[in-house]
Amino acid sequence: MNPLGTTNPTTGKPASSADGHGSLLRLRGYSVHLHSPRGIVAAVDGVDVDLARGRTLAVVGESGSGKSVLCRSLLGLLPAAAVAHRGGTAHFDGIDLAVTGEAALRDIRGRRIGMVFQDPMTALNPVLPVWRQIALPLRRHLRLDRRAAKRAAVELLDSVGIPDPARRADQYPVQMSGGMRQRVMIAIALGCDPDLLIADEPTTALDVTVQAQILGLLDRLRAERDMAVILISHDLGVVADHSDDVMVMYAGRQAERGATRGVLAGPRMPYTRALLDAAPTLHGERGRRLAAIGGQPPDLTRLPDGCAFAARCPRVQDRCRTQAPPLAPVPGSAHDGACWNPVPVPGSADLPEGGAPIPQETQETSRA
Amino acid sequence: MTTRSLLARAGQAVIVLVSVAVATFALGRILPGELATAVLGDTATPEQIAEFNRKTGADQPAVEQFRTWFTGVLHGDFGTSALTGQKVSDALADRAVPSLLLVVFAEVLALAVAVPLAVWAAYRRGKAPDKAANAGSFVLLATPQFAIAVLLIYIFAVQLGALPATGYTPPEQDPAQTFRTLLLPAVTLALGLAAVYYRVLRAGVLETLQQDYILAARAQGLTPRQVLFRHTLRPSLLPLVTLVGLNFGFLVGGAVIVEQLFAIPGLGTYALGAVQTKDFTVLQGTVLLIAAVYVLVNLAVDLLYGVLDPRIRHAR
Repeated sequence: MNPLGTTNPTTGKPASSADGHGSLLRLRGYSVHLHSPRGIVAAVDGVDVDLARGRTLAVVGESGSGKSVLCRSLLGLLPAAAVAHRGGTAHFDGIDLAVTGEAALRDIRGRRIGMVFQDPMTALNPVLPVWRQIALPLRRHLRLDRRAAKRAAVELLDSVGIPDPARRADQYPVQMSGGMRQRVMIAIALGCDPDLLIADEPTTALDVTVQAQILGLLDRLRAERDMAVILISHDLGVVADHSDDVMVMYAGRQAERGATRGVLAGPRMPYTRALLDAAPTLHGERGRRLAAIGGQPPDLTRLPDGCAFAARCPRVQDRCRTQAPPLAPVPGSAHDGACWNPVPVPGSADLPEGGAPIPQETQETSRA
Repeated sequence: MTTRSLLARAGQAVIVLVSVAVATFALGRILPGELATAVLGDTATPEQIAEFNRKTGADQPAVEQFRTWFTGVLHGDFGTSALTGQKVSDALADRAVPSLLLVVFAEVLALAVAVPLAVWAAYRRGKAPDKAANAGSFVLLATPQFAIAVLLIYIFAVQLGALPATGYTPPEQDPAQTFRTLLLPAVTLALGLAAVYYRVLRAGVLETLQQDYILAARAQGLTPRQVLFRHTLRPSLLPLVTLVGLNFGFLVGGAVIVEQLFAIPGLGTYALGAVQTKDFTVLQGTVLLIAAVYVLVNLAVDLLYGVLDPRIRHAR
């Protein structure tokens, strides 16, 4: 439900965009190169994304894999001086983000694309009552007056499950728990009823029990509003339960990509396999040692010619060190991977899409 | 701020003021030279001096003198200047008005210039406006106050004849003329203050702009004006507020150069005269009044802290 109801005169969402078959966000070969003290860094390198309304894409990877840079670059939030080069194309609902100026991007940010940040302790302004923080984008984008904006803020707090919203609206972030602050962040992001929500590690800073509540809330809101969601995470348990598709990133490149069930059930890229082995599972066998991924993430200023993961890969071959593997459909599975020597499919049988067994039992009940 | 911490603050203020009273009183007894010889001259006979001391109470024990003086202070009577015969409380009342007007005027001018400039410069960090404002603030900081004053007098009073060069008209006589007489001295003070305020606030804004909640505000599509003035300014103000309070207290009694140059009968000149003539009754009263202003302003600053930053208000 949209708490703003009819007062939201959205920017006239076309039923389908001109390019990309109904996909709201469409990236082709999207790259972001950043200046760093030690040279130019390919923080994001040739990423393709197709994301439709009502779907959740999980972006997974270690710190420095380019997840956050990707999203911030799309929104024009990177400091202009830091960006050395952008490549490829990025279309949001038919709008070419690459040629959109800062002023026009400001009309998209917060109104059509909402963003939730990792740490609600630092991403909320400590000196403003929360209703004012919710109200500012409403006043800017929807031209609500002060009273209407406050009323809408209270309704939004209600819609994200904050009890006694009228009283909470006048409070400051310091008076709230972490989970409640993240609900406030979500209320801010959803205020203008965006088409796309980018959630950058939305639960990393929260207690486990609160994590589940927040992710459940995001799922509910996505379904209610037919929103597209990009869920950035390094937690594969979160990804398994709360996304339709997954993109695994390594050193700025896409390592493996496809339907979440298929990728997690039958990872073909050794890096994805290693990530899964490193993740604790609720139903995993007791006493099993979690496998750490050996070595360090690569130096992005001096990426090797070949595969970026080659130095840490247990399945490395000579070819991997000289030639970077392209992202391509992996034989024997329904998803794409960038690997010369993919992990064999368990039982060596071809797995139909979504037909693979799920590693975690919780997954079966979590999503419709 | 809770009532309890407010009461604690008020208690501290009283302790500070009583300590200041004792200290200034003691200072008058420690400094060499007697009031009697200062008033009567070197040729006074011992009999004349004894008579003078008897009349002014200087022959009493120090504790008794302090008790008499302080009881008077509590009743609003700061004693009488032995030199001029004028009641100190009357003189202080007269002198406090131009001093306070001057300082308030200067602070308002300084903030009106420094706040928008600092926010703008920080936002355009490293760009031309930032560099120009930085250079300007350095020039102002490096220029002595009297040079600024003389320059202003030369331009606006001598060359343009637009404003009076010196003097002061009390507001009860002609408020418009009060404004005109205080404008140049206030600008003189304000330029120096603005340079400092600019630097402090610019640093604060730069720090705030690094915060996650500013990135979040930008991600909400807010305009630069909203980001700067709704989200950034308030969390950046605390150091500036402290500084404004300290300067206010200092300038009420410490704007001596400006008061002298522009012939403004303020507290600073009054205190300076009292030091030179060893008129301790006057000095004690002036110092106590200035200390009271300090204490009150800092109390106000503490309260403002809580208003500006709810983390202080809601801290356990």
